[in-house]
Amino acid sequence: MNSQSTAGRRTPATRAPIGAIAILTCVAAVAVFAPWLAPENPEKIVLTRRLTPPFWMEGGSLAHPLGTDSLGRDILSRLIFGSRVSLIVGLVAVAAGAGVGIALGLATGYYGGVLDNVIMRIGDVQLAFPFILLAIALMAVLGEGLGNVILVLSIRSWVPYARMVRGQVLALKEQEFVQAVRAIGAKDLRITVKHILPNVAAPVIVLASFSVARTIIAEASLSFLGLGVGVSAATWGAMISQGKDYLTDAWWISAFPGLAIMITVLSINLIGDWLRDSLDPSLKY
Amino acid sequence: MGGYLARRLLSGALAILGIVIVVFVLVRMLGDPAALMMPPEATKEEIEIFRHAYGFDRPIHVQLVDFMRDLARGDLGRSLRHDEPVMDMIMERLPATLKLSVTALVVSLILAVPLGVIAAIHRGTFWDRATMVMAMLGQSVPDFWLGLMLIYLAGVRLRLAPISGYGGFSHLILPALTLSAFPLARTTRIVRSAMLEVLGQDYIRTARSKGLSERMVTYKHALKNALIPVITVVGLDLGALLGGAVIVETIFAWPGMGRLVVQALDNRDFPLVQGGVLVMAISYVGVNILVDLLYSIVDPRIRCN
Repeated sequence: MNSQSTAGRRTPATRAPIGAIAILTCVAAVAVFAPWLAPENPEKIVLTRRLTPPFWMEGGSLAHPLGTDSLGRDILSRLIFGSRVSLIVGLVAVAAGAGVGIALGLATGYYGGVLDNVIMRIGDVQLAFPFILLAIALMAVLGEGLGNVILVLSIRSWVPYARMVRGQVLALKEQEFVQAVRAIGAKDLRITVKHILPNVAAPVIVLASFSVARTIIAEASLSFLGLGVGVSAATWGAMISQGKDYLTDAWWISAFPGLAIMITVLSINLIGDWLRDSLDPSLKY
Repeated sequence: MGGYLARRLLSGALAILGIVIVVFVLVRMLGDPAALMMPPEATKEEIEIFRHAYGFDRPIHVQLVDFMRDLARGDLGRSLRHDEPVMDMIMERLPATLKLSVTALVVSLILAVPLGVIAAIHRGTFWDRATMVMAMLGQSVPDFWLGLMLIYLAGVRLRLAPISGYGGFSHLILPALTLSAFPLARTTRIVRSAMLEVLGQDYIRTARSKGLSERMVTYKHALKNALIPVITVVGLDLGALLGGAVIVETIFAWPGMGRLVVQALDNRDFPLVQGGVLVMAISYVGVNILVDLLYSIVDPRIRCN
């Protein structure tokens, strides 16, 4: 390729985002080994040391490198334990949503008919509305808790998978290789799962990576609004919320968990970008 | 065109109907408004009278049919807590939300188009990378946190803008900035990819080989076509803005629809939740139909598909 004009330029071979992968690996390791890494129990309340600033500020100490919150709890320890909630919710909710979405996409695309119509209309309904409001209402009905957060956030995510897989199936099922398998007597389940599904794997993986990022932010938003895993739980969203009334005196309570969310989500997005460019260049946005 | 429009309107109406029914049922699962509205010393009979007065003692499908009948007359009922017509309360709050989201949308478009174009033209350079890093950050930052940090840095420390409330232009700055971060980041990326794709097309090569200046090629031939996908994003953005507004309004004490509905959910104020949700769904579906129509007008290739 030796072209001057933009017309001839090709996408350069995409390099793996080493930094992002390293950061995400660290976050995952922190989540797994939280009890060994955290300096102290994240729920330990010591009122005499409340609102201690981070170590580099006046009055701070290395005993609490990132300071303490309004109840004297160690921010670093809460941050470390908070990574668990973010990652578990992100991964499980996306896996559940993607699983349901893929299954529905395969079924609706392959069989069409009434089922297709009904399920796609339900998807339309869901997309016709800012999900956060529905999530707030659902969480208010279901109550706090890890399982409920995962449930609500996986309800959010099935639609894009179903739509995309359905579209791919519609295109693939008329192709010769599928007709050939059908001709030798393969059952529907085998055709869809064994022959069609592998062909939609690339876009599904790309979509999933971005939804993990979005789900982590959604979980934090729910926690921030007090509709998450639990009001006093050590989650990044809840920590930001606990700090919001102390912004003027103790900015660090809210600042660090937000940074943690941003860094984690940024890494996932960068990895998603890379996956998209290398797995499926036809997906652009 | 007519048939297409009719189909879109019908499916949009179905989606709105669906969302209204779901929310209608959901809010009734939130708990008994009587428990919240009545004083704790209220007797059983008094609670029954309250429930009867508002019709909550009837089967849910009867309540739904009633609600639909009132809706057809443009009546959204009365707020349980404020005892005002829901329609009036919404109309009072709607301008604030519109002001906030339209400002955020305009800010994001005004910044995103030039940024995306610059990044695409100077692909691979420092400016491209810097813009893309900023865009990535914008898509990764939780809006409620960004809002709080802006309150702290710009409002408390630097005293550049008021940190909450509703009033003149200055009150709009921080909430609108917070709300525009995500759409700004997404639109920048889309303008950039669209520009890159368009710049690779044959007609751009033709324009160049005619001897047109690079400026002419970029702005007259490429940008016009690259903006087509941006129109679709405006529809998507509106969803993000309405959703974001729910949280941003809460943080900045902005008296808009989002905060109204969240408070109504807290108060189990069923009619108010239903009305708010209905208005939001209608605006979202309506704007997306408009965007689709606009899209087919701007790009004749996809007309009537």
